[in-house]
Formats: sequence, C-alpha cells, structure tokens
Amino acid sequence: MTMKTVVIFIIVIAVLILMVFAFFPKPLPPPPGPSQVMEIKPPTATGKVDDLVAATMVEISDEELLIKEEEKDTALISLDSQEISDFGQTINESEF
Amino acid sequence: MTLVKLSMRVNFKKILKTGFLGLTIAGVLVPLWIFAQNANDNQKAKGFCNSISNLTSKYDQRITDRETKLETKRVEITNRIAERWEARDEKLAEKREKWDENREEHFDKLEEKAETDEQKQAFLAFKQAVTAAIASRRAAIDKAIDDFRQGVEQAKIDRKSAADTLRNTFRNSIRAAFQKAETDCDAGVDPATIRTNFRAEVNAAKEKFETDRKEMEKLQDMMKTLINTRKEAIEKAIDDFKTAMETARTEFKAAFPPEPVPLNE
Repeated sequence: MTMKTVVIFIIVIAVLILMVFAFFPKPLPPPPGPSQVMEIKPPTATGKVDDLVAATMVEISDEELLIKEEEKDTALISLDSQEISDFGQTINESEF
Repeated sequence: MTLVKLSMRVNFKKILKTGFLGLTIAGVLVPLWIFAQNANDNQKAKGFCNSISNLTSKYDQRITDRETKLETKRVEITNRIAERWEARDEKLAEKREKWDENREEHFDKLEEKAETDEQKQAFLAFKQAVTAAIASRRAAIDKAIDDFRQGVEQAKIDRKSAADTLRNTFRNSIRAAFQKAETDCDAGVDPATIRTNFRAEVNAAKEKFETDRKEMEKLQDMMKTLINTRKEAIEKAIDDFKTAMETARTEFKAAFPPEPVPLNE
C-alpha cells in the first residue's frame, strides 16, 4: 500500500465519520425533570448559642436548595410550543 | 510558444463547444419544464373544484388530530407540574422536620447551661423568640411559594387561552377560505382563479398565525416577573429572620457571663 493510498483511505474515513455526525439526527435533550436536590446535614448540638444560631443559617441554605428548584417549573409551561406551532402546518398550499 | 498558443486555442474551442451544447440542452429542457409545471398547475386547478369537499374533510381531520395532540401535551404538563409540587412539598416538610429535631437538641444542650433563674428565663425567652422567628420565616416562604405557584397556574391559563384563540382564528380563516372556494366552484368561477384566491387566503392565514404565535410566546416574560417577585419575598423573609435571630442572641447573651476565650500559648 503506497503512501498516497493511505492518505486517500484516511480522508475517506474522515469524510464518512463527518457525514455520520452531520446527517444522523442528534438525540433530543431530555425534558427538564426534578433534579436531585443536595442535602445538608445539620451540625451537632454543642450547647453554645452561637452554634445554634449558625445552625439556623445552615437550615436556610438547605431549604433554599429545594426552593430554588421551583423556578425550573416555569420552563414546563411552554412544553406545548411544538404542538401549538403544528397548527400552522395543518394546511400546505402546495397540495392544492 | 507556438505550441502553447495552439494548445490554448484548442482548449478555447472545447469550452465553446461544451458551453454551446449546455445552452442548447437548457434551451430545450427549461421550456419543457415550465410547460410541465403549467400543465400540472392547470390540472390541479381543474381538479380543485372536484376535490374541494375531500380537501375540507382532510383538513378538518388534521385539525382534530392536532387538537388531540395538544390536549395530551397539556395534560402531561399539568401532571408533571403537580407531581413536582407534591414531591417538593414532601421534601420540604421532611427537611423542616429534620432541622426541628436538630434544633431541639441544640435547645436541650443550651438549657443545661442555664443555672440561675435569670438564665433560665433568658433561655425560655430565647427559645420562644427563635421558634417564632422560624415559624414566621417559614410562613413567609410558604406564601412566596404559593403566590409563585398561583402565578404559574395563571400563566398556564393565559397561555391556553391565547393558544386556543390563535388556533380558532386560524381554523376559521381556513374554513372560510374553503367555503368561499366551494361557493365559487358552484357559481362556475374559473377554477384557476378560485385556486389562486384560495392559496392566497391560506398563505395570509398562515402568516397571521405565525405572527400571533410569536406574540403569544412573549407571555414567557411574565415568568421572569414571577421569579423575581418570589426571589424578593424569600430574601425579605430571610433578612427579617436574621435580624430576629441576632436580637434573640444578643438578649440571651446578656444573661450569661461571656464564655472564656481559649488562650493560645
């Protein structure tokens, strides 16, 4: 096998790979779902007032992790965009 | 030099020949293609009146199918939102329970340090203040969540209403176009004219649908307002809580001698 043949072979393979990536449909991203919310472990009680107050601040962070998730729900509302848009395609003038 | 000139002349002749041949073929094929298109258009125009009722029912069927799909998607969205809210409510309740238990442990340990009546009194006042601050913060956060969810529900209703109006307007325009075409066919109007008018009306309906649909998608701006309002309400609840906690801590500490600071030698 000559050098020229090898180069042509590599180019053909590269083109084939590019074609596969270009023409095959990319998998759609999964629809947004409830993500796994991280848990924060409460600190051990020490009998110190500062530690108790600090624990309540950690509690806020723990709650916030979950509460912030709610914002993602707004994206769900427009999940019917495609179905609504499809109404405009119910008729094609080229059929007539 | 002479050889080069000769070679160029030969090439030029070849190009001329090829170009001429190409133009001749195009000259024959293009009119044929145009003629075929016109013949096809004429045939379609003639058949238009004959098939108008079939086309109407075909279109109605498509609309019905798409309505079913949209309704299915809406149910899916409603269910997904409801599932998420339910799961999140359960999780929040679990988290709060976990922190309540932990705080009780903190209170128990703190109470052990209260020796004098004044200290015991200060502990009780502190416990009461902390418990009230937490209840107040949770109530404010719950309200922010409820308001947000009501906003999401309202946005869903508004979107449904806007989408239904959009679809009905489009459907009515197309039906009107079909009816007009049927009437014209019955009146013996030239089929080509009927078809041209029909296509123009369909195009206009489609364009209007697209413009209105893009406008409808702007309803999403409402979501940003909802998110910001909720964020501000939660931030306020947290700030109020922090202030209440700071006051409680200061008052509690006043009843206890300062803890010795460990010296690093």
